[in-house]
Amino acid sequence: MTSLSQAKLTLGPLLFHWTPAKRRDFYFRIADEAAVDCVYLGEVVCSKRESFFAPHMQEVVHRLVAAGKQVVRSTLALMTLDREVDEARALAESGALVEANDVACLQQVAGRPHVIGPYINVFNEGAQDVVIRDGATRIVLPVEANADTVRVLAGRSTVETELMVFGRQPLSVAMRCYHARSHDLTKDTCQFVCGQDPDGLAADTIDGVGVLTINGTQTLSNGYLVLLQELAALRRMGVTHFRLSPQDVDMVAVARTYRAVLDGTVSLHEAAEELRGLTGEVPWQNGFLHGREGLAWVERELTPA
Amino acid sequence: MSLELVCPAGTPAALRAAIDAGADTVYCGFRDCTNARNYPGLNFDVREMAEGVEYAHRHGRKVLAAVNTFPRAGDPAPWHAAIDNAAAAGIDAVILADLGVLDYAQRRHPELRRHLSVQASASNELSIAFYRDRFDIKRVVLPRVLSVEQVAALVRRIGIETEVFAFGSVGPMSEGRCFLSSYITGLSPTTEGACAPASHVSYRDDGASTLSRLGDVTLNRFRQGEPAAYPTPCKGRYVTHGRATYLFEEPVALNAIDILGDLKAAGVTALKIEGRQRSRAYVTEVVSSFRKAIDALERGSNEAVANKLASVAEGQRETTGAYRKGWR
Amino acid sequence: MHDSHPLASAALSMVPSPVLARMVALLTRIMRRRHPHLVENFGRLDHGIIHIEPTDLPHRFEIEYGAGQMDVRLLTEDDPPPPDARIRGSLAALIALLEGRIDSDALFFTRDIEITGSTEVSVAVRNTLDREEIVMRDEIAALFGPFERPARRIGRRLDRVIGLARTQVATLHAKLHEANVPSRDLAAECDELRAEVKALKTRLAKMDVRQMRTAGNAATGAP
Repeated sequence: MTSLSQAKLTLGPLLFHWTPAKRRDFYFRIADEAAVDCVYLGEVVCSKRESFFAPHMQEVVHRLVAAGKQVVRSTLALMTLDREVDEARALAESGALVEANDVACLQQVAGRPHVIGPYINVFNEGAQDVVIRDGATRIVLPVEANADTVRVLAGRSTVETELMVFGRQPLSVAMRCYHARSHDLTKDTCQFVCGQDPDGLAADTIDGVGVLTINGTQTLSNGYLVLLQELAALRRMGVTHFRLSPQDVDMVAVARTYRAVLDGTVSLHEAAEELRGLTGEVPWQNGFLHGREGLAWVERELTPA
Repeated sequence: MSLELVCPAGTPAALRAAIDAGADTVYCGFRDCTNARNYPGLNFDVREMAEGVEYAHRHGRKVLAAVNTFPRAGDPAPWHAAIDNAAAAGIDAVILADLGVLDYAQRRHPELRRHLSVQASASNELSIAFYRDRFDIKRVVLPRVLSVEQVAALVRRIGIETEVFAFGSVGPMSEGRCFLSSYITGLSPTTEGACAPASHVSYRDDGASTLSRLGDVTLNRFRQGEPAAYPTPCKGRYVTHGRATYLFEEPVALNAIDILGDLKAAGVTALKIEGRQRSRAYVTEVVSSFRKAIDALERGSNEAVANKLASVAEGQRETTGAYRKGWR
Repeated sequence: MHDSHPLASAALSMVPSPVLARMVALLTRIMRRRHPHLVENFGRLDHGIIHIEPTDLPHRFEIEYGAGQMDVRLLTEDDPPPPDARIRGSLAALIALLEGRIDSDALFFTRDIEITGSTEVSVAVRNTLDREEIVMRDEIAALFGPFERPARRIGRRLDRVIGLARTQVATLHAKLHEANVPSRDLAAECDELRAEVKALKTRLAKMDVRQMRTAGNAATGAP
């Protein structure tokens, strides 16, 4: 279990539009209590949201660093406006460790340590070689990656490999704001209606089955990705960092559960029961890793290579 | 320079139809997972690609090969073979998206012209500059999410050719990194090349209406005669706030035929017609309409070319999409 | 190709089924010779069976393909095993599809053709047919090739049928294009076509019987 306990837990960037106060308090509690090694901060989904939290950013960074957490600054996943590109440029030039989520950043961070976020496609060895050559020190694999992809890429990587293991799965980003559309508004006149849904807005099928979650311009899965029974196999494949994506649940407790599984201090069964209690009615999904539909839940261990 | 008309061909017959209808350039893909329209019965084998190139060159036109999916780890061979075969066929350029495939093409075939596929989702100056500086791409296919003003600004700054979508599906999501279809079907448009693969599409009559399903997910219900689109996840109806709506995009097609003058003024090099999965009849109809419109534009003629494309437009309705403000 | 068979059947539906079945087999052989890539391309697909069902004719046809093969059959039983997919539509729409003159997606979404069953099979068949440049008149002429003078006569007749079918397609086209096209009475036109087809069937049936007789004698003489 020693190798498992060396595995790092990370807290991915908060994808939802929480009020500045809620967001600040969330990160303070993460700094003080959560068993995570690294925290990603920054707006990934919509640049219109960015200014709200800006006044608290330094304060939160200091608190996390003081608590011994590595802090990584995440960029937007889709940039089209000059303002958006300029901010990414400024962030890269600030010397902060950056998670690049749009290829735009690669031009800026080349030659310096950086993280390749899950919104940049690294599906194969060729792409992996290109980004490592450019100085990437950690690669977060795309959410769609299956076990074969993880096995090959984590196995041969000369840098850290991260994989998301908890939270709604990011499925797409767009220019259009679907949250605004659902309120008969547009992105330009959105009134920040995404703030009304701190865990996203359910988009069900016409026959009433849950399938998607809307978060502004982003589309997520309706269920939470839960890779718990797979952790040991992923660690053996060479995954070094495991990402928990913040949801509107007790993330400190979620982190504690995952840490306990990594440390071998709890049985899988107990951990799953604990997590079920924390996630309520939200369905669990793990299909992508098992080579299935991303919305599927597969109740078995990963097959060995 | 006249706007270059870049047209789709899913089959050798469609390639000839496109050229006969006035395409300057035709793009097509190999018959496997290496291109983003990997549907059964579609695309070119190596011999057909070579014959297509020969036919086009005989008529003074060009052929581009789309090798624009993302290789799966452990199996880059089909993508490398596609690049090698395209080069051997005398193709005029390859359209690529994956960092590793771009790298391979540049190293192995430095003289083979490279275009950046829309699947790379390069939506801003810095992204395009990265691909230009790193892989020496000569042209970028811009995503369908930009306004005419944004296109014009990019053209001024990036110093390489731009190709923009003029007709076809409206893609509301950032392309090449949309996992909705694989989330529902388990088959990836990104690495396997088919969004909403036909094997997972079904229609069921429900008395007065038809249900379209993708995998186990019901995407739409439409009445007889109601416009509908092929059931990709982004063209479905979803329920939010108790209301079923086209949350992502209505069943409409992008048609920029009425704003060709604006696109030319913005400085774009080429207009792309989407639809390698569509029929020869579609190709002929759309290409000849755009040929007339471009020729009229070049003559400085003000006469509007009658826009008769609604019948082949998906859902039989049209939009100028993101080119006009308000779409977002 | 094989929406072509509805047309052959249009001309020959009065002929007893065994004779028609032989004609279908003959046409298939001719198509194999004239369009070798078609067979090759069908053979490259995963195995599938599709039924082609012209709504205005009494016959149905089956295409079976995959594993290097392609075969076309006239369906004679009342209840054949269910296919993977069915394409139903008017003779005119089916011929237009076959010749690649009209966009199948447009036809589908306006419900002029109806596709049921496996979407993969119907998409594969549609795409494979669309790879070939087929002109029905030429296929039919080739079918009657061995019978010189009667073939020319039949060819002229068939041209008339195809011509009428084309008129129908033009109307379909217009209908697809805009609602403001001067409205034509499609039903009347269909009736007219049906009457025409019926008359032709009778005449062709007579010719066919004579030709079959002549064919037995090495197909040399005119009747």
